[in-house]
Amino acid sequence: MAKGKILVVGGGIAGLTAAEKLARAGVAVALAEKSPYLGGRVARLHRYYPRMCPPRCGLEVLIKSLSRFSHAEIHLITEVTGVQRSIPGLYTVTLQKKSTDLNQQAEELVIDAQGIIIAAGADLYNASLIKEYGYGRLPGVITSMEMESLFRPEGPTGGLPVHPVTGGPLRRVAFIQCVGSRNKNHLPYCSGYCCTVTLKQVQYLHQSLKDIRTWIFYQDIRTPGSKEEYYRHVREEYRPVFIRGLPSSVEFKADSNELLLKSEDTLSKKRVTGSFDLVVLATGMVPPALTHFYGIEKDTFGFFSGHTPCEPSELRRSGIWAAGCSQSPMDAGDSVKSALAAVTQCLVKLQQQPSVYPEINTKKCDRCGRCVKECAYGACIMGSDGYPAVDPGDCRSCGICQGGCPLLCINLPGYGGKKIEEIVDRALSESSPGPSILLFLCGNDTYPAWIKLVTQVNGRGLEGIIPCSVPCIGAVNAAWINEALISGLDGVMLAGCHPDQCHHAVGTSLAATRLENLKETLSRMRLEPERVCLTGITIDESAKLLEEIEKFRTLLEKLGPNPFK
Amino acid sequence: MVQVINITDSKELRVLDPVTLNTAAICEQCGKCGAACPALIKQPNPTALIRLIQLGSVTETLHSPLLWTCIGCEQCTAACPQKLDVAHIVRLLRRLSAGEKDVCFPGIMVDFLLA
Repeated sequence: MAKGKILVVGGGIAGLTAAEKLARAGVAVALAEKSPYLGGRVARLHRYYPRMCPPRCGLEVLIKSLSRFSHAEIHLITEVTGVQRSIPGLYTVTLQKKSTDLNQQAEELVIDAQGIIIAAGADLYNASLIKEYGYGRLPGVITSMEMESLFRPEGPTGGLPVHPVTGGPLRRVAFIQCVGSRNKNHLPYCSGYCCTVTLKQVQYLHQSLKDIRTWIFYQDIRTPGSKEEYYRHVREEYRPVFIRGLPSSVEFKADSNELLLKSEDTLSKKRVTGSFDLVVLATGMVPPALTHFYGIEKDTFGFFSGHTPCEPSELRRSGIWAAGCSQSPMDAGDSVKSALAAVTQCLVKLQQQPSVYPEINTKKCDRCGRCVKECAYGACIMGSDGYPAVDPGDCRSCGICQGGCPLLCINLPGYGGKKIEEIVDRALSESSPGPSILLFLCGNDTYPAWIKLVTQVNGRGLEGIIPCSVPCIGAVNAAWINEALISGLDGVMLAGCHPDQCHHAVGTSLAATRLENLKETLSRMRLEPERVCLTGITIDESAKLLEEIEKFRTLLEKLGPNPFK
Repeated sequence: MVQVINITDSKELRVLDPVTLNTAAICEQCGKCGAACPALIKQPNPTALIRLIQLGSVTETLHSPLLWTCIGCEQCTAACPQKLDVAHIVRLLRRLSAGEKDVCFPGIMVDFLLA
């Protein structure tokens, strides 16, 4: 296996945690951070939940420990400018390292990375886009991130919780939740961390100021798990007034230097109004723009959400994992957890045990590149010799490349064309009264369902069915189906996972596309295209599998025997 | 009836004793007390009454007909998941309301029963 470093993109709490753990495990790491300092957004917090300790303490430990290792490099003011894969199992990453000296040219670094952990964090939503709250226009309207700096000694007020513009005392503070979040005009999702941030800041205010009163304008307070306990604590200890309803407007009254909020309390169905010294906007997170990574799976919002629940760090490019807020909006604690998950995945790759991986017959291959395009993990690449190459450490043995190869030159040992030939030959030698059906079963979901079915019905009603298990339904090559039909089998059925549940993401949908193309070929050959079908079965749907088989058999009986028989 | 409640007007709030105000703050408006109240004929129910306290709208709280339809069964207290003594708050408000000059409770009672 090719040797290289592990590149961690982002020096926030997730990136630092990942880099430090890998370095401690003896792995050579390079950490690239865009800004001139480490610690990211956490470094700019006053306290973090739930222990209410200063975040610097935790960050210092990580940075100190990381800089101790000679096999760990830290690059500040460095951005990724290119990611390429030319050797199986290795990424060639170009980094641009700027200098703090403005007269100096930016330096270009090239790193051979065996894996990349994306911990690039997230950006905060631009609160000035919500015009009615007047952020950036009205004095005294700040974001929750700016609120944190009100309590920090190096903040604009020198750590004194006073009005950030006038320097006057704070008596009444309003917090507005879901600023842009859960709003189809802005961010349709819930960032999930902002409610706890507001509760934390209510605690800051009440702890440091005696005559302070706080109001929270919210839609729903979302504090799952242990955070509920914290919500209850803040609610009972500091008694902020919760107004269920988001303000329609924020106005500035110059005579009294106060902000006037208008809202509806949807619990009492009454209009409410109030004047405040400070209005804090709890903004959500937006995914980072990482333009140099290709083929990475993102969710509908643009976060690198991974293949949840089974492989949360997995981004469908072997050797690239996500951690922290670039995965989904999360708090510091969850960022650390996700960093540890990415580290685990990374170590698994580095210590990967040999597995079954496809053999490529370069004599037959015409270098069409279809396998490279279709591989769900980016494990199959065009090697330096111009032929496809697979890195065993990256391959998940799904066989999708084998299923797509137009020239049948890819063979997944144990599941390839030879095995199918044997199965078809055996099926043809045995004669059964009804239609003979070749049934391909996906090894993850459908094969276990089939086994259960066979034991349940004791083989009755399954006469003439020739089962064949494949690692993924995407591993079935259309040429096999063609061969089976020409040899005289009456029908071929593909039973895979449901398209949105496929363990290899694209297997079932690729099989569907390939089958559609095959149906055209079949009709040209004057074979009924109905002789092939695809169905989605989950692991517990044995009864449905039987139903589908019976339906298909009835259809085949109607069509009559295969004309090639 | 107050059209718009000023939630930061502390003058109104001072009429209520701090204990009532503070205990009412823990109510999460789940509505269990309102659902359990046998005297509930029309609005406001105990849930809505507690909400008015939370918002600091004393005028409306003290004019609430519920104060005089309450039969003191304490079903609301028994139902509360936050262990808030709702019935006690209602009793306190009733006492407070009786002392208010502009509150004519028998009149409200008659109106209410006729309605």
